[in-house]
Amino acid sequence: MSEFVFATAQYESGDWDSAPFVPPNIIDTVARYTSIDVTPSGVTVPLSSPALFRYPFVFLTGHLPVRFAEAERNNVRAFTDRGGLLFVDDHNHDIDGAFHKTATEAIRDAVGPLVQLANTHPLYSAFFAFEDGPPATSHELNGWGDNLVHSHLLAVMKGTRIAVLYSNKDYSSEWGYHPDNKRFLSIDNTRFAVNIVVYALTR
Amino acid sequence: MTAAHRLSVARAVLAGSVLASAVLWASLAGLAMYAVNRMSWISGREIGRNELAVIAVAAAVAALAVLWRGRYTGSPTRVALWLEERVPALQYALVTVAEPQSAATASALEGIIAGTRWTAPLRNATIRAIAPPLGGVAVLLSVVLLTGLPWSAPLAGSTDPDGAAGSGAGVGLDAPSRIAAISATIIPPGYSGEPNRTLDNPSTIDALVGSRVTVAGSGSPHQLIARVGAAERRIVAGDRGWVLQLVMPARAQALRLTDRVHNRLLVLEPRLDSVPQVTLVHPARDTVVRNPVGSIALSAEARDDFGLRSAWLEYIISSGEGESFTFRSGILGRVTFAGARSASFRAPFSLDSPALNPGDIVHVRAVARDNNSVGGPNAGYSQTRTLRVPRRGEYDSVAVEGAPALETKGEVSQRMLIIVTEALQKRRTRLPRATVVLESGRISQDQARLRRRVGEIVYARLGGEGSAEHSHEAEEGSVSQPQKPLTPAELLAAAEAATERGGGDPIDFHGDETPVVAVNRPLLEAFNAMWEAGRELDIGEPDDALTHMRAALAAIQRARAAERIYLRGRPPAVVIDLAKVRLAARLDSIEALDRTPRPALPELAASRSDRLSRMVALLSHNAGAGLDSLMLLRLDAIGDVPAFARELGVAIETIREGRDATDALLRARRVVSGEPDAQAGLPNWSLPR
Repeated sequence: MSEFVFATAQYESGDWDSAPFVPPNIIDTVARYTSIDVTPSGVTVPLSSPALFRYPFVFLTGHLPVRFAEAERNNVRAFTDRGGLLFVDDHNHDIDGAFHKTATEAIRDAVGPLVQLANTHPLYSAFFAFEDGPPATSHELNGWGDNLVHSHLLAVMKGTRIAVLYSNKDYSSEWGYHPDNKRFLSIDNTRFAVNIVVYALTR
Repeated sequence: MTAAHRLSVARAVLAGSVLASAVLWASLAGLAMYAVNRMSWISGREIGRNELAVIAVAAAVAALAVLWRGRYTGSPTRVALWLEERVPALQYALVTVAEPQSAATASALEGIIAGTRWTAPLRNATIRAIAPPLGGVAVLLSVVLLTGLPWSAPLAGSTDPDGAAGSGAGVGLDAPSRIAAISATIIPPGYSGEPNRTLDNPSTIDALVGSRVTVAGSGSPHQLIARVGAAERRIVAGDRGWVLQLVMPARAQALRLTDRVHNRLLVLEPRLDSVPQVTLVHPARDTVVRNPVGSIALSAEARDDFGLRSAWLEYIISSGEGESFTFRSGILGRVTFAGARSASFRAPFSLDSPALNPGDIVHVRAVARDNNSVGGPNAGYSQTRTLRVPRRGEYDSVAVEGAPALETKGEVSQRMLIIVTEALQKRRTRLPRATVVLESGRISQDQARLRRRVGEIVYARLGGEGSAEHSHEAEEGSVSQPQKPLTPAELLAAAEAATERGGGDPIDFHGDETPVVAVNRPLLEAFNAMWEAGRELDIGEPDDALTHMRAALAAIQRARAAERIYLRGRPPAVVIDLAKVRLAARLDSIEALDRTPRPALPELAASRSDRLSRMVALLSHNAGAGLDSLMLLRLDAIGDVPAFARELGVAIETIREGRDATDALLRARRVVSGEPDAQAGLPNWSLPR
């Protein structure tokens, strides 16, 4: 079995590189909690590139408007059709923000409409048990962004499988710190990332 | 009437009753089998020639059985014995008369025979032979009449050999196929404006999605079956035969028509209404607006295959940086079209209102919708262009074409310098050496001015200074004091220093070059080549100088063609020390369960799981071979793991239909590998406690 490579999506519009510490932090977390073979650093993959199909899990984030170019849209559609999981996080944590509006529209056009993901979905028990659904972020609890604690994640389903997982919770900020600083946390707030990765690799 | 004559009459009566009985029993058997087949046909099974043969054999067997039983009527002696048995008063006189050698005694026995009558036994025998089968036939006919079993349709020659419409009758096996000659009428959706079409005997029906398709043929709809995919469609009687009405689906499907033993496949090939093609004409590319005042004309073009409904321009203005962004958005220049297939639309975008601040980015795109009333309207979008207002002091662009000078300084272009130098070289043999050196020196001064301009562009960017030549400024223009040009290594070292990273680690960027150096390299090469050219010109060697001047021109051309590069998008390179952190997480805050390693699969299951993995990988680049392999694997497993074979079958069919087979393959894997043992705590990938 080949190693898991954490891939960050690079798209033409917006600031795709807004959360540079999320990939190493998740890689660190995956290595800390699991024995999954993982590469020590992530890669950046253009959404319009055929290289996208090398990765079963791709992370997409940003603050600015997301508008897929034609090649990006077609590639994302094929990627999800072939079993890939695209995890999109709204770094702007604002449902009235341009990222949310444009990203949901772009996802709808490329893959399909987003629906609310039940908090009992197997994603929340794929590794750690999150009985209340997606863990809240400090940004939500502090009332930043849209001043909401989002109770659910959104998803585009392909059959019983999540093809696109969409978060308004701003995990990009929550997990955007150097992994060495994880030692200062009493409870590791990146554990949910393990669930997402394990889900993506096993479904 | 003699005894012999009476015996002949009795024999004829008995033979007749046997024959009538045989005919009636054969009829009864045949009718019974026919009725059974009628009921089978009603339940959906077709009647073929085999069933007809069975009916005939049943009738023949019944007739033969009766004839065999009544074979005694062929012999007068046996008929006489039959009568003697039923009329004892004959006292074997009739048998004696029937014997061929009894002619001598026959006359003596005539008296005994004449005194007896055998009408009653003959009548009884006839009734017994005919009444039961006659009753059976009557009962069967009554049942048929009461239950309404159809006697028409499909048996050979029964009715309606032409399959004429409207008769309500069935069609025999020998009747011609009613699906051999068909027509398809296509009525496109109203919004398309396309005319109706009729296709004669098509093998493929291509039509716009949502079109109404009427397939028609001659003959009765009775027994005709139509299936689209797996769903059966109703065929009804029309004016001139049978009619099938469909709506063109969104995905290509097969229409299978079945008429008794005849089959016909038609491909339903949908044409998709394409989304409008939208092009943002102005601005043609991403733009930096240094002074956001006035307005910018936005214009776009849209085309659609069947007609546009509306179009507009959208903008989003993002402001902010870091973790704090705000957005403003709006729509400009909304227009509606009465089904035009192409249109252009425009609107001005004011840079003053809403006010743009440094750092703002305006994202502009054009949107158009078509008239599709079936599954639409479809919306098409143009590429998004951005207008960016730079932050103060920001140089995010490395465009190498400097803005034109506000006042002319009289620089001669490198191309012109080359032309002048070539001209000097041509005249060189006719000119005295002093003149050549003088003119060459003048060209050298122009070359030096141009070199300083290049230096200003390069070094201003690198270090913020006007020129790296300031130490040589006083010497400029003096041909008598040759100056040593910087070597490429020195220039690159200067560039490294100018990136403000000092002697530290250079930024890792495309082959160990700093981005600034990489972007400026052509200009640095031009700068150096100009130095060399100036030195040759100073000593009156225009021919040697031309080589360096052309190299400088080529470098400038490369720099001019260089793409603008933004320096974002280089996330910090954080490499995780996996050996250090591997399974080193603190678990004191986590509710975890004891874990046990997953038991190894049995060898056969592991082998099949492995084969399945390889076949799934094969499917991605050779679908045909992957499918064949899956079928072989299914064949292998069909005996001992039927559930696995069933899921593989579903996956194979799904792939053949061009759909996503991930779920089916997933189920197949779970069957062969076992369901994952889900538990609330940490599963088996985590570290043991």
